[in-house]
Amino acid sequence: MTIEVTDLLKSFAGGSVRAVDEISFAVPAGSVLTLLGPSGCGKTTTMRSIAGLEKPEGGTITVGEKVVYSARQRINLRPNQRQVGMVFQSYAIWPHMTVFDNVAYPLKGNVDKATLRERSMRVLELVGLDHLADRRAPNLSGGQQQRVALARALVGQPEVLLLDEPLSNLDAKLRDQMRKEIRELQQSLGITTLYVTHDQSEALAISDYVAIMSQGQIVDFGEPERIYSRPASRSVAEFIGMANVVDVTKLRVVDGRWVGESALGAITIDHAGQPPATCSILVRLEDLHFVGEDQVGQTNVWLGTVVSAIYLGSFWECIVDVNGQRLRTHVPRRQRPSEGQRVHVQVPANCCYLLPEDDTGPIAGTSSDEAAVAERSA
Amino acid sequence: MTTPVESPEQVAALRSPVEPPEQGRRRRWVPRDPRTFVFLAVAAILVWEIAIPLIILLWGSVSSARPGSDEFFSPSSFTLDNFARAFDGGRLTGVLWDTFVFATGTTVLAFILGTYLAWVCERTNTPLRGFITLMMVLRLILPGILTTISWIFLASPNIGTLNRWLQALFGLQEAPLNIYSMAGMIWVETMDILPLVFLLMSAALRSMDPSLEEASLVAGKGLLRTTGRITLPLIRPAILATLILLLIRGIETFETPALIGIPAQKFTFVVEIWRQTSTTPTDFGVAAVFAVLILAFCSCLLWLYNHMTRHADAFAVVTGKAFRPRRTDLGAMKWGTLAGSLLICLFSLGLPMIILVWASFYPPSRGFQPITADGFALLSWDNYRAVLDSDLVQRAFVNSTFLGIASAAVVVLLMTVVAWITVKTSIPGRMWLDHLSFAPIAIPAVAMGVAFLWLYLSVPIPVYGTIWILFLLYVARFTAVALRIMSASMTQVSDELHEAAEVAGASWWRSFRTVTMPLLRPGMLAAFIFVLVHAYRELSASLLVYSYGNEPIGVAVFDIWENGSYGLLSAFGILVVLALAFFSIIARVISNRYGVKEEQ
Repeated sequence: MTIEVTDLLKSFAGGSVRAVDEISFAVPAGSVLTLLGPSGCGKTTTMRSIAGLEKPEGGTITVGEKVVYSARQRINLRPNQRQVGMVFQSYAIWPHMTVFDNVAYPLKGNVDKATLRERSMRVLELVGLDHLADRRAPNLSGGQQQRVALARALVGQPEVLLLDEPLSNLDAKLRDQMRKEIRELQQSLGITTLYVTHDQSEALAISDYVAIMSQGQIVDFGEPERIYSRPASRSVAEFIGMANVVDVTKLRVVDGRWVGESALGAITIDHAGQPPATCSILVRLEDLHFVGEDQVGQTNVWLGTVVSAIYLGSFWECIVDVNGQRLRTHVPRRQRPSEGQRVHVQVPANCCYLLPEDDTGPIAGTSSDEAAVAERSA
Repeated sequence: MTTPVESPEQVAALRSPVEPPEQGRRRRWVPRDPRTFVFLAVAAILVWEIAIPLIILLWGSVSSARPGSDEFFSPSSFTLDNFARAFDGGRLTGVLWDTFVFATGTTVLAFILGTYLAWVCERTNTPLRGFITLMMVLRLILPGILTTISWIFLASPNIGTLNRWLQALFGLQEAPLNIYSMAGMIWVETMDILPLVFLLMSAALRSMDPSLEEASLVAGKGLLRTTGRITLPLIRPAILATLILLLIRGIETFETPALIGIPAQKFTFVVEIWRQTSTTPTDFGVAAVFAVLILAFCSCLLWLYNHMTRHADAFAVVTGKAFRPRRTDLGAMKWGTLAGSLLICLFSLGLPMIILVWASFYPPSRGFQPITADGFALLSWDNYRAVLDSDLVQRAFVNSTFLGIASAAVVVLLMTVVAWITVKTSIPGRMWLDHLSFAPIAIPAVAMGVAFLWLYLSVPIPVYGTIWILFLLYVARFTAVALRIMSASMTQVSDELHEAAEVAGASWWRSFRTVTMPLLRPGMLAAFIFVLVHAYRELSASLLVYSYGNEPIGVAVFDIWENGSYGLLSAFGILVVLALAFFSIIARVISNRYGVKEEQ
């Protein structure tokens, strides 16, 4: 089952703020697509439109073969006719029911009692909560509530699964564990999944595809690795993870590679073709290394001063000042950098990624963020 | 309940103020949406119940016609004569003075005693704190009229038990205590209102973050300076708000001024309004003028109260977070504070209950006598037998139970709809419903009674002289608190819970029925019991509009008191207290089970 969204439009505050600005994307069958962006970028509104909880103003939404929303054909199916499973950010576990009743709710009235019991218990087993079936819902921990919400979303065997920031209410350790479990569950069921989050690492870890949203639009779309290593713009690069951006001028071709001037000094970039006069390159933190004295004179090795070194357990996060340009880097634990230390840093020429010239503008939410929240809670 | 709305388009249309752009859809939407009808119906009921009586009252104060006469609705009956009569002959000055002394005296005394108890229970290590708190909560059950009567039994110059004891103890010729005085009135009203102060001030003291005080102590300031510079300024908004509420209560209370004030020749506004409508020669015009004055004054105070409590939010002392308050170790002094607290509890609840129980068992043939050792031999169940046989008592229980259940059901239903409209939809004008439903909190019961009297004497709707006028009056009286309870529980039911059901395949109606309704039920039950209890206690508004055969409990107690059957009255009172205790226990069980905050 695929989800297809075409030219989806939704505005708030009387049409003055476009929360979702004519976006199109498709989630291929059996894969996970994550909508990633800061709060107010329109990702939750998009998901709620797919679920039928928000009425868009334009576009088409197709789930599998079924058109669930179409502005032109005047189709807008009710949420209960769309056969989607959804996990809400707050989990929305009904506090007046037991765990079993919560999970069995989507089946009630649709199947006979024995089937209802059997299927509910099976999905509870799947999330590892079958022993808590009779517990009252408020007496659950955060992680358990999360699992109940997941079980409830899956029990009706929906065509697609929608997950709205499902991990944001959990503590860090549980978050990692649940992320893994959700991914495994999704893989074993092969269910098409749309995932919404503002957490970059979560998005990269769980997705087959990532769509980065900013101010109601998708500014980058692709596989996680591509998004991380070759982002569509400088803003996306900075949003998706800590990045060093270096401006390079006076580019020319030397031995089939580009060479130019930068604040760091001469810089070599592995890139074919005719270079522009100037460009910006992206160097990820982990691609920047400290090297020994013996490497001086090699390609892209510069002398700098450590201006800050913070110990983060498995590595040090350092800022190195090279001729006035500050570079962030991760240094292995054993290297023990100290502030004021003179170091040589190197960037492999094949780790300099040329950023596209056009920028998408800062990754941000629209002012519709407050409007949408206010409207929803009104 | 609310009418189901089936399609999410309608839900969306209600949720967003922007209507769908299609013209045809827009034109059809308004009359088709059942919610619009619900909204209009509720608005119409509230206008009729709350706005119209007040308008009639205002007009009555400036009309020369009596209610019910043909000229009443004619503009030519406009006159300022009523005001002239009301202000004439120094009568108003006396009433103003007595009301002022009574209300401020009660406010000050009740505030001091109540805050003392709250401080003892919340901020000190005095023993038996839990017991004192329990006494104050139980004290809420005792209706005002029984407090007043019990204190007459205790401290009347002729039959007062305390007077007899003190005379015997000190060999006095004259009775040392005279309840029939301004001091007596203030004392009795203070005893009645004490639990309210206690609860309000306890909440203020409890919800204060103790680290704010600790920061001052750590900064090197002593306990005294910390109290003066940090604690008091922080709870100042709560103090002012409590004082204003007390002042309003002092002005609008009826029982003490009527039962003690009239024999003492001290007339408050409320008593004066009642006398103008019930003792010949009646003067409905002057009653309306007084009612308008008291209404205006209470509205000003309430505005001030809202202003204060809004200010309190800015201080963010009340955060809803559970703090463990800092308790002061009083050392040996804690026995002193304990004795003081127990003494207050004794005066507020202990002695009144003891004397009522005594009087209820004292044989009616001998009239009421103070508690003496010899008297115990005479005690019997005669009064209880008489009460159960009394037509008036039976009638009163039936009437109040009917009125309580019927008005509670209607009020809860109405306020659930109002809360739903104001919290969950964005129908334009919804906040007017909220304001209208909340307005009765500023309307003194007696003023409301006068307004209903005028209204149903003037319009050709045959409810005057039936129980239905009381029903209509009770519905109008109790909307405000019910709305607060329902709004609170409506807010707690997050939209996502309802949406989750829809996504899970339920229709709007099934989702409402299986998710929203069950979650609202505890709030609805709490509101229902609140209205029921207050309907059982209601007196002053009922007194103006009841008729023979339709007496509610409060009126029946008042009646029996006027007839002087004290034993019968006391037995009746004890039964009422038991009934109210029963309701309150149910309410507490519900609120404990579901974690719903009880509002007083």
